[in-house]
Amino acid sequence: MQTTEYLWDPESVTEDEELPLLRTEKLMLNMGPQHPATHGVLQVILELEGEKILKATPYLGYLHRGTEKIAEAGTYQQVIPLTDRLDYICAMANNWAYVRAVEKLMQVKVPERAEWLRTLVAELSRISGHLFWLGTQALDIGAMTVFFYTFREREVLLDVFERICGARLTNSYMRIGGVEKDIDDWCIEQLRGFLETFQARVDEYDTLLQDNRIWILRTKDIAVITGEDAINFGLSGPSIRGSGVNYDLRKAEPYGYYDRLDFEVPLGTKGDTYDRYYIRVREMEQSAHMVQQLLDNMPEGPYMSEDPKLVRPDKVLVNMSMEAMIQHFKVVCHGFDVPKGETYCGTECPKGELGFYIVSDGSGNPYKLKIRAPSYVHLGALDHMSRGYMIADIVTVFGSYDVVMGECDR
Amino acid sequence: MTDVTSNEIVDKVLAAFPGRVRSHKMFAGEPYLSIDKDGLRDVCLLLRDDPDLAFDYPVEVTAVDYPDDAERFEVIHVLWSITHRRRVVVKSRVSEGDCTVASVADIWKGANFMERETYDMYGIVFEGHPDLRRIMMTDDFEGWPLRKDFPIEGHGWREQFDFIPQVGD
Repeated sequence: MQTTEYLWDPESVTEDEELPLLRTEKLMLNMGPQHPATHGVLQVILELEGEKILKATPYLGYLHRGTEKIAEAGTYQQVIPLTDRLDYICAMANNWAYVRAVEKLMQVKVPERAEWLRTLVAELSRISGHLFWLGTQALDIGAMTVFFYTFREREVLLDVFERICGARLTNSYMRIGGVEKDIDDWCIEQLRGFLETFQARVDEYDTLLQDNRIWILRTKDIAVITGEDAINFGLSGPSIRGSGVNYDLRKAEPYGYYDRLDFEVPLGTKGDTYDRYYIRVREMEQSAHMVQQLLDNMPEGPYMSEDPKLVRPDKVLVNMSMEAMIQHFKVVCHGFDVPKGETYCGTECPKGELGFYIVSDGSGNPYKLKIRAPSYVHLGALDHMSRGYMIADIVTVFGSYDVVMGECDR
Repeated sequence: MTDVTSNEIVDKVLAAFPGRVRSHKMFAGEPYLSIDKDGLRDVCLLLRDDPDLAFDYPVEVTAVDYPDDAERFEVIHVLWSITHRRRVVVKSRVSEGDCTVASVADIWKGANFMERETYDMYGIVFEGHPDLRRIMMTDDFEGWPLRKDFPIEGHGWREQFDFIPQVGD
């Protein structure tokens, strides 16, 4: 076989040394789009030198459904179910990110109880999202047991979601101006039971992973990104906080109930995969702490705004009064007009900052709706973060962003 | 909601580039700056490097299509400052005939993918971008999907079946 390139110059080798016959050649390797560790359909073309990654080029768009184009044709409420399909692991948080953006544009005041319910379900979905991440990340690396444990806990939360809104994954729970339904005593009881055991469960995950020799070898000093680079690349959520940058919109721009809650933002030091893992586990503890505080301070009152433009009237009224029927018809068929203007609104979702840039031309449909998906922005840093590491690490690199391709490709 | 029309961010940019800023407004406490596209890089560098502004975090790059306007596209840069915890939106207009704008991918590396998506969806060319290719659509895709004149209903396989009633039958 033809020798193409030498690691070192053969001319420089002295007579008595043996001439090395190592052939080095760049290898292009295709990974995906159908690959179990890509959490959807992602293709990465890897340029390798032996086992070392020289370059990783992600090819996106396999799950592109044109959400932004569809949104332009529908009313503002019709976008809510579409947001479920972005990050289908924690749909509650996506719903909130969208309705907050519309409410910011319309300057709607949301009732206290609705804010409380939203914060509660968003933190529950953060726990469930991080549980899902922990299970699948461990599974990608080869530890199967953690997956079964985390899904056991996640099931409790999904049952609560099912009780609240009738769906386990695609929740569509939020409405513009409030939430769809109130929470009942059964859920509160379930959640209290969940919180009683949750800390012990987290300790259980820690015993499985935290000091696990294989886990540490596979995650420590892998995919290191400095805080400066993380900011420059626009990383968000646990991915930027792993590098020690204190960027959390819940603290930076408090919304919902967060200004009344006592919680800490865990920060990493090194910015490697282990730090990002560690932060997510600590965030679950903080979220559980927040849920506890929320359950202890439950406000009473309406859970939906009373603005007749936004809400459908009571069904009994629709059957009896003409005005209510007109209102019902108007809200369902036409939606509502949003004042002319534009705004950006970012929300701290489990994966990072999920933002919506909405332009309204004063009609009932969004003129333009742009989704700033954290997974998409994170994949922009994939090449930077995987260069120089081994081929086996590529799975941990994009696993550590918590990538969900539904959100990335939209 | 405050009724201020300006703040120190706007004042600073106005002082540095008085001729570049076309208009500015405030919404929900955040400034929106409309600037000439030739001054985009200068304004972006000022926004990033001035320690009082320090907009070091790229949030979003996107565009809006206004087919009836002379300068059809509006390119939007949303920026955030980690130190000062505030946001700014920079908007610049691009016409269909000269559909180019300067790339800021070397100022914020994260803008690389965002500009690629904007190019893919609107066909706006970012000059100086290191790797301007389609990202969501396939390489051989024709047309720019998020432009307003892109058809939502196309000629698809359904039209081949005569048992499905067609529009206009």
